[in-house]
Amino acid sequence: MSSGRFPVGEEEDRLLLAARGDRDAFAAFYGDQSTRILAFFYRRTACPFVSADLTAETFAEALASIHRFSPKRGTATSWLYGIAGNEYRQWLRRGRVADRARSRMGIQPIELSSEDLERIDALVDFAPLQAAVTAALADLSPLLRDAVLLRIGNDLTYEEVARRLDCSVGAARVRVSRGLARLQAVMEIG
Amino acid sequence: MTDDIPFLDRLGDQLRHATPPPPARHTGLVLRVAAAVVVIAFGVIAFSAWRSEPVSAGVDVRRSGAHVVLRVFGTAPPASEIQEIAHRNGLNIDVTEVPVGPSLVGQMFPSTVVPPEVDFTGGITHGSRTISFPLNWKGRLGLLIGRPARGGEAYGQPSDALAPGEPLACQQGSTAEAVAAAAERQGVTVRWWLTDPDTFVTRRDVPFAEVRSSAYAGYRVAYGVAFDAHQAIAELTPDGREIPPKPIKKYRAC
Repeated sequence: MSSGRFPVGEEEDRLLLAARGDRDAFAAFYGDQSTRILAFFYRRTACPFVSADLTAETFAEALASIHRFSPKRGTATSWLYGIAGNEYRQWLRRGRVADRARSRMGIQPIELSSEDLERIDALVDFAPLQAAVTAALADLSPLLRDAVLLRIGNDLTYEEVARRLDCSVGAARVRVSRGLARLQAVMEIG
Repeated sequence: MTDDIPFLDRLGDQLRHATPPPPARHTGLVLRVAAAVVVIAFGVIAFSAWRSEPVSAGVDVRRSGAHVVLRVFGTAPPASEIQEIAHRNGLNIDVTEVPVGPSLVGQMFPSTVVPPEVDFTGGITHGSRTISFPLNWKGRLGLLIGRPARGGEAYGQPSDALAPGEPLACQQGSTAEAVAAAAERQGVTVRWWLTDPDTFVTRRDVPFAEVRSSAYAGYRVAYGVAFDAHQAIAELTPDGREIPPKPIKKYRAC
């Protein structure tokens, strides 16, 4: 199928067909992309449960907004990863996975079996990443490193971090934020 | 292909039986109605401005589906007013005023850990004007509400130094030389941070003499934090983008 002057690949074709109600086309797109999306989330969250929920929400959102996909604005995969990125950022900001699209589409929660956990764990080799994060932590200034470890490692409130580091709450927030930003960069690259 | 992960197969089955909503129709009509609403709203705002009536500060709590949404609008309402209205609506929150720069006046920040069920979309140098709680929420939350800092008063919450009204307003992307000149005119002391794009390592408090006489002279301001009206940190990167890279934030007023 062609959409005129814009070249359309197989994945884009599938989404265009899915928008016309072709369930097999969406299933094929899902089959190609779902493992990659799951690995995308697992690499970033290191939690199989969160990754599974984010994957389900991403595909539910993709299906719910399938009519908005247009190959004129980008490839099918960039569209899907755009949705995945949004879901990931929402999770970071709110601390929980959204379920708006899943509720809308009637997708029920799925329990993960031990087999699921094992297979998801095999998707990403965290060893190099762990080494990179350890190195990045060592590279942080002592001020940032202490703030990150107290807030994230010891789960202290910003007030407690500020008290331990003898600084204002605002300064503690800034230190944690900047430290995490640098660690996150390592995660993205790793 | 789902690489034999049973979860993905079960999710795929559910997706196969889900029905996507139909595409929106009558787009043209919707756009025309939306345009009319915008024109009317603009007229109302323009009329209000013409009448020179100040926008009042206020707080509003209302139910939205399965949530209760607390919203602060206008300039900073007093903490006691926010707290009283919240309590009246069953929200157990403690509100304290905190001195802030112009960009954060009327913004709320958490002063205690935000429970996961509470939807607070704020950050370090930006707060939020709305917070959403589940209906019948029984928890407790501490909040700070930004009020204008008085002359020379330290900010209780650091602000984005590059935001309009702040010490380095609209200097995003400027060279250190340009920022230093503007800061000197306004009596602002700047601490210079330099971030290496390859290692992400930041050198802090680099003397300006070194900044201007080295390879860093070409670096541009990517990020700024203000601690009061006269003190700020300016972080320089090679191209004025934050490291790690983020889209450049452009303020409408700049």
